[in-house]
Amino acid sequence: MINVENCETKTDNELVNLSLENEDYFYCIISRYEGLLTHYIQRISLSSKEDAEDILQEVFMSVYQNLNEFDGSLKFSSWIYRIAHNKTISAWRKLKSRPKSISTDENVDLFNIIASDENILKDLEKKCDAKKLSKALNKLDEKYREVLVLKFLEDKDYKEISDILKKPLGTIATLLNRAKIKLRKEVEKMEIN
Amino acid sequence: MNEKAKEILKSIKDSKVKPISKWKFIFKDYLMWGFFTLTTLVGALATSVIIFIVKDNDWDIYKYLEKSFLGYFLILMPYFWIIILFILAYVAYLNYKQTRKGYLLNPYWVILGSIFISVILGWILFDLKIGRQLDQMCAKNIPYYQGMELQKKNLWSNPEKGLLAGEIIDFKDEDNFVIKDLNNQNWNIIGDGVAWKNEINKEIGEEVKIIGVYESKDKFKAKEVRPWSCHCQKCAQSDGNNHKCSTGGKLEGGKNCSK
Repeated sequence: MINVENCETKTDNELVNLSLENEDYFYCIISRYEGLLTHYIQRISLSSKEDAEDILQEVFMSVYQNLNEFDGSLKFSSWIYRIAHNKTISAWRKLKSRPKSISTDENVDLFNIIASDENILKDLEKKCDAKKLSKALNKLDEKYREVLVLKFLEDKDYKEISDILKKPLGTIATLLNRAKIKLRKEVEKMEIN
Repeated sequence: MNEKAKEILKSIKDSKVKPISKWKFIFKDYLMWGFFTLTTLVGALATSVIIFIVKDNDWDIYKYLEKSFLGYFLILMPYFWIIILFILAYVAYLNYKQTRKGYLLNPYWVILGSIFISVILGWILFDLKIGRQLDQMCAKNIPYYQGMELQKKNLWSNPEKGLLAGEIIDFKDEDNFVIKDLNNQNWNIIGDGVAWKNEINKEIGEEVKIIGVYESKDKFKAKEVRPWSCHCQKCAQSDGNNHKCSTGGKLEGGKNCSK
């Protein structure tokens, strides 16, 4: 086994090259992204931690198998998030059922972050509480939820979201705007009910 | 040490999974670009036929058929090839999408770009007479396509409406000759200063279209005679009804065009 401390100073790209030479270095990549990807999988699939960990295993298996596909033209984090995204969506579609909800804590985070965004609607900021937001998010289409999660929870910029979801930049901007409007509408509907 | 990471690495090692070779990813990328190029080239072939059909049509005869220009236009549009062109442009987009950076451009731009390239190359292929050859090949081999050729024949089998076509079987002079029409009926063509449009061989065996007036069951008064199709290697210009040979162009059979 390699010395883990040696990994910390290395860049993602260096670790990819090292992993191709010695698979033990792949431990460093797993270690670096395991926590981030578990959260991301949970956030977009609304799945439990156990389910997310199962998907995570498949994600790293696929990342390792496809290491040669990564060419450095995009950020490694975008590339690994893309694989995680694809694996999560296909696992989710296999199950064909959506678990109930993501945790309330997560939604409070999302609510706070979205609310701080200049473009988000003020009504939402003032009236919405975490539970309502959780329900509203669950009702959103997958395509809207994933851009909200990537932008506000994973803190990705438009270019990174474009690389992860494999969609043009213009489409990402449009999706994000629509996602905010849809989220507000869902929250408003719940207010009326 | 991160226990979860150790566990995942162990499962990777146990499964004996190995990284896929780099050349496979490169090959896939080139393959997709190859398919994109191929579909765009086939699209260019379709475009060359569209250009040929559009240029070969007589867009000014709608008035003889008691139709509006729009109605006539809609009847004669080469839908078959236009649909093929759009399908190929979409397939080209699907291939492009599979390339490494295939997600960066908006699908509409890729489809429009593919059509644009097909149109540019299509003009070149049309100029090389590929469009015409393909059209004739399809007319021989595709049952539905024969209908399109028949449509043209039907349009020019309307002597009562002033439209007649056939092969010259006897030629006295420009105002007096005999044709066998598309239904094998002989017609005496008479006229007074008949306008012979374009480059036509005024001789027996030439296939012509005639605009004129129906006189009797075997007599037709001609006003204008046109070639059955634009049969020059190079149509230098067309005003929609008037195909002209370019200087130095050649008629079918290798005869030189005379201006």
